[in-house]
Amino acid sequence: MKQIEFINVVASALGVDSSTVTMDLKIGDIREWDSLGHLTILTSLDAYTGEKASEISNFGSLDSLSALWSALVNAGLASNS
Amino acid sequence: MKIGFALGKRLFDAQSTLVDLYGSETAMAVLSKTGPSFLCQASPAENSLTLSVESINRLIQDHEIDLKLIKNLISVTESPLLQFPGNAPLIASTFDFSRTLSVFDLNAGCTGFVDAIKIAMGLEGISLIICSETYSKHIRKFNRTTSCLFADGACAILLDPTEWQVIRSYSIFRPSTFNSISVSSGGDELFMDGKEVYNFVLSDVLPTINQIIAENPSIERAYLHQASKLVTDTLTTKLNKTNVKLPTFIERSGNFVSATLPLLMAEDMAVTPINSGEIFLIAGFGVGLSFSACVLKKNE
Repeated sequence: MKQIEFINVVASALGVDSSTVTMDLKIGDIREWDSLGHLTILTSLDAYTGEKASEISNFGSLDSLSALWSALVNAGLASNS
Repeated sequence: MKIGFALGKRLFDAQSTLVDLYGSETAMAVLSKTGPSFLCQASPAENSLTLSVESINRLIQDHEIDLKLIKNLISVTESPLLQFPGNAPLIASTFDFSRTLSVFDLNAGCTGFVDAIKIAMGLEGISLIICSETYSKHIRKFNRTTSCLFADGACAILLDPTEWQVIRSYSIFRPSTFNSISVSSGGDELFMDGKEVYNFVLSDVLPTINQIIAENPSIERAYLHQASKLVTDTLTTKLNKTNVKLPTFIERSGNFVSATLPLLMAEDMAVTPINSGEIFLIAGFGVGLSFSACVLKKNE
């Protein structure tokens, strides 16, 4: 997954324009990213990665885009390049 | 296992409420995670005690129960009528039980029914378990997650321990997560940290259920707590390789907390009764955060 794809998945999950989604965003920063929005992000990322994302330790408690992105990169599910 | 139930009489239209507040697209997105378009909620005249009594009356009516044969009464609720005593002595006082009845109160959420089963199977004689919840009375301010998820209702379950066998029981407790689903003392607002709960499901609940099924390959069906459509879909998807039947009703009924599992069982068993010798799993998880499960066998 490239970062642009990651941002698009998150934007789609939250129902916002991708221009709203920046890598410093975290839960609560925008109205759409509440508890339910957060779960939608997680399930969307899980589906996009073929259910591999949910296998990352403590995946469900990562509540910022930077933390989610780092976890995906470390798990080999995303790439900075 | 004979079951009687009572549902809250006020019908809450979750779908219309969400559409009015957020528009159709967001409303459908919320419902795709929570589940039910409509929820049974307690009317102002109803509470956990009235629903308990109604469910027992339904049990008596449907199954011709002799209350004098019941040795133990276990009341499970997180919404007792009084701070103390709990509902058990109030329920016991409403019916003509034996004066030697043992009464127990259990303040437990979504693990409550399984916890009560574990207790009842260790007691002498027939037990009456009542799971009764009115979470809607703890949600004063509309919250698009909790307001559209929790339903109110009660189940009365008659359990004869000579008819069942606990093959194995399991428990998990996640320290320092008690605030993840909570109502403060004297407070009336339910708080739920959805991400912490989902994390618990992924990290603890799902691996444990997989472990249970692997250790007990004779399990034919599993009654899993209907936490939300999101959780139910996640568990169903990730357990689909096990070939264990997973009844579900979250989209039609919502989360009745401790009453969820017996309601689910009542609905499923009415269509597909549990056969003599059949081995099945019941698993509740939530408030605590905790997980409680039993592998049960219906005796031949």
